[in-house]
Amino acid sequence: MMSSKTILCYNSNPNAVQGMLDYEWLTHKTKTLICGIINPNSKELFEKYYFGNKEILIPVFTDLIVASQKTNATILINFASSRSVLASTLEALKLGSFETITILAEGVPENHSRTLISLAKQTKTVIVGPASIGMIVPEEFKSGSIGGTIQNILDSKLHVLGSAGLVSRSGGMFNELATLIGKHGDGLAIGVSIGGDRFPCSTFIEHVMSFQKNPQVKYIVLLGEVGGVEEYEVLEAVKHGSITKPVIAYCIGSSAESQKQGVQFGHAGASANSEMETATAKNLAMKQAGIHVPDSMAGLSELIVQFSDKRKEQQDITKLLNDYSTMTAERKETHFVTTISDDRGEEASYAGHPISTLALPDSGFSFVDILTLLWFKKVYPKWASQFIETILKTVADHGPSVSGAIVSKITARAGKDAVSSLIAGLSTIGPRFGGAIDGSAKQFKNAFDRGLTPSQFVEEYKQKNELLLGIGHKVKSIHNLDKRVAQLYELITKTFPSHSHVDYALEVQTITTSKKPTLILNVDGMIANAMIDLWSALGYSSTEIDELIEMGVLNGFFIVARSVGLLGHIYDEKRLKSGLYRHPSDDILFKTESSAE
Amino acid sequence: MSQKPIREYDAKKLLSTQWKKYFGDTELEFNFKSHLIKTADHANYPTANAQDWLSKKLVTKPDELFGKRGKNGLVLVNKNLTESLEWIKEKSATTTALQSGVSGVLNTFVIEPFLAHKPEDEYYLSFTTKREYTELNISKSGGIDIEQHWEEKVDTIKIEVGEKLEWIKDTLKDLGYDASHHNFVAGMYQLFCDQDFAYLEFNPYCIIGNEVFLLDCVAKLDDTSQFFHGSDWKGIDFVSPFGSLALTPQEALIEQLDSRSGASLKLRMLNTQGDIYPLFSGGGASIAMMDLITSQIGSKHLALYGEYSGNPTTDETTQYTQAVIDLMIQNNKDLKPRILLIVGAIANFTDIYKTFLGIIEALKSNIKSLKTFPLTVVVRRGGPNAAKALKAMEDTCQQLGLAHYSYTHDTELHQVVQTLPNYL
Repeated sequence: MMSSKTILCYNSNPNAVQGMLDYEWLTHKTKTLICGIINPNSKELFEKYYFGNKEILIPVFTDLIVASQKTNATILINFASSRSVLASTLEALKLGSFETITILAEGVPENHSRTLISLAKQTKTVIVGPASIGMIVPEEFKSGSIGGTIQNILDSKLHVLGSAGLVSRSGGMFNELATLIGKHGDGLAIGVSIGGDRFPCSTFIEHVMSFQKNPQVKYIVLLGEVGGVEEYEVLEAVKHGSITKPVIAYCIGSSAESQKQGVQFGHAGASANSEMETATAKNLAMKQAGIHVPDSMAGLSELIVQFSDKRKEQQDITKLLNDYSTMTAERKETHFVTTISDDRGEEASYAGHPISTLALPDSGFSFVDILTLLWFKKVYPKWASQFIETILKTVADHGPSVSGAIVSKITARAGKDAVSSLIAGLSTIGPRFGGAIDGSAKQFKNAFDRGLTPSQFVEEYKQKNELLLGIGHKVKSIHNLDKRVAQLYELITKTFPSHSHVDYALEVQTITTSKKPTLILNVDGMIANAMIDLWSALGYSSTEIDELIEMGVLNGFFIVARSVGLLGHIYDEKRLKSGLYRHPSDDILFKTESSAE
Repeated sequence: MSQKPIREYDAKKLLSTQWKKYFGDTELEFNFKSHLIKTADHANYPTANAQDWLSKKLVTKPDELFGKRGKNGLVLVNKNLTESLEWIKEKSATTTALQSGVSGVLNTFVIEPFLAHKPEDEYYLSFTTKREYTELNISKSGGIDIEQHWEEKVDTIKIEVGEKLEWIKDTLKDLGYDASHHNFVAGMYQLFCDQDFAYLEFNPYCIIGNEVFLLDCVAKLDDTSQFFHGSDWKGIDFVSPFGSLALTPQEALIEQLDSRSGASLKLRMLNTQGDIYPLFSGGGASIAMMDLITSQIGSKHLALYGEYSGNPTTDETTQYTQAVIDLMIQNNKDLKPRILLIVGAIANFTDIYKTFLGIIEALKSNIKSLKTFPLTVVVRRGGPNAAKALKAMEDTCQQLGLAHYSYTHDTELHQVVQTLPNYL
């Protein structure tokens, strides 16, 4: 059966999720149907699981709506606790994009279930549970821990498609019956455990009707329980001829009738509120309606033999089990993850592009394209990559006197190699040198996002007595503008689809220069705001841009570009064969005092 | 966790604490006047001058979660406090047998003011949660005979989940009920929903002037929602109904353990003469096993009902097994043969080995007492780590010198039950 089903899990349950993945592997799926895990409190981007012997990453979302939009999943498996399952399931129901929702929590308040029942009816969603262990369609998918271990799944032939439709309240008894059906018949076409609550969100009749419509199902097996009247809906449907496939059914719980004190069994729904809710009454009524009801559980196997038209060929599961254990033994946790490049196979690649398709001049890829592939996993449009190239060119060097250059030069003159000298110079890049781009971007974006006017922004920093990063220049002023900034601005206005952050920054400059002419928007401030505009225009969300800034990408441009300049200074020193540098003493003000005794 | 009946006293107290929120904007008043008496606790007996109404005429009845008290002659009407307390003393001195066949010694009573009223003031009202609606039954002829005249005297309304209160009021109006009843029923319905009642019945209630009198009240709460009602439900006891065997300390302990655990742990003594002590796993499998034992060898063999499931910890399983073993030893002074029946269906996620370690621990620490009578350990399990678990149990029994038989899930449940008489 071709499947368009995809699964989202709400909250993670590592054992159950791994069990589902193992089942998919066992039924020869090439990739998993699980397309994401929603965990509102997670800081991770993905969770690691195994598919076969390989580790895979399952994306983690913090928001159900986003997860649904990004994945178009049709199945939700809700692992949330009994206390929080209502809110998350309601949210999912309102989206209307899930065909099936499975709820595993036990002890869900009855009114929560009733609220879900009422909404699910409107949205035509099938909710399996609460207190379900899941559902299974052999060879297609399984949700939850249904079927138990791989050993048990193989024992009960749940890995191959059979012909029985099985629905049960109990999870343990579901496995018990699935095993019987696998042993005496050809296994399941579909199986559902609806849970033992008083008000399961979907009841026997919904599932039995879908079994009736499912051509793969040849006969139906139903295990009911004392309590509730849901079995009567099924027998009415049999009586009226809307169910024509043979139904084998049995209700457990007749022993309650011989306990005169009454006994509350472990399932919340398993107690009779009236005579007709007793197991005996239900078994009798079902029998009278033409359903095949054994005298006790012991008679079930015989009926299964009778209605399963063929026994599945005795498949040797030893090999499958061996394959499975060999496969799991090969599993090894990885310590590193990469999402940008790959050197396995014929040729190494950058973000999926083999290097040979990128390197040569006629490939059309620039060096900046390689940079964006490795940094952002995509090639930017021409206007954007050209802007980045302009930045790189603009900040490649700024003379020998600045911190980085001087440190590199001194290190080179101490006889150190090029790498050490470069590292020494690069290590000066930080909040005061070069690194102001990061800080500037944070300050301006934060003010812009909060909707502060430029004057409010300036005023706020004045109040805090903090510097505005990206504003101010040692030499240049409003009367003698920094050419680099002017040039960048011209390029931006010509090529950017929009540049609201840059405009904002310039308004800030108007205010600051009215106080002091040197408080101009410097090259760091211009780059910072231009990059925010660039990313916004490329469709990055505000949060994504914050993350890029937080990662230090803006400083990255400076590091890449300035490395070129620093290496230039280092090679210059080597070429000049300059000797060890010692700073003249008369250039240092000595103010040393002997420490007081 | 399920629908649990609560005392009439607790139900009315809960309604009274919530009253303002639901009836604050109506004229309706409810004055909660009620005194709960537990005969074991003499300090709790009221005196006539404690409250104004206690010096007047009173109604006294047992408050132990059974119905038809009037029909059973267990409602004392229009007497003063001395007479009422005397009646309580008398009723709690001997065994009381109800018409239903249940019997026991009464130990909890409620005393309330006696209300002189006309029979036509007696109304009936009940709410029951159903899957897709709440069933409301209301009648202008409440009283103890309501059930005989149900068809002709009771109006039944289905209130869909999420229905507006106005609709309920309109429906009652169409059925000819007075405005005071519209407000009472609508407010009570909202309170019923918000407080997670599963059942609530007043038979009868009266509205005289603006005052509501709930002369008789039966209620069940859905205790799965207890978490959401921490302060509102404070003091409500979820007690066993009249005639139940008193909770043994072991049962009480497991109940407590269950309420704190993510796993499910249930234990209820059924018959002290029973010779089969089950350690069943799983809600469904435990019921199936109870049925099979009842039909194949007789329910008298079952000493208790119980089940543990949902992957309990080793420690929880040790405590659970200890409770079962304690009950087995206590109730076997004659040193007759007993079976410890460790059975479950095929587990989905419970780690069988982990739970068996808990059982083994308890067997080891009680081995001396367990060897004073012929004990047979019968095991049948499947699921995660089952093979390892069965092996560990076999080894332990061998080591301890306990007779044991173990089966994998290839042996069906009823086949295991068949073997049990051999060991008794």
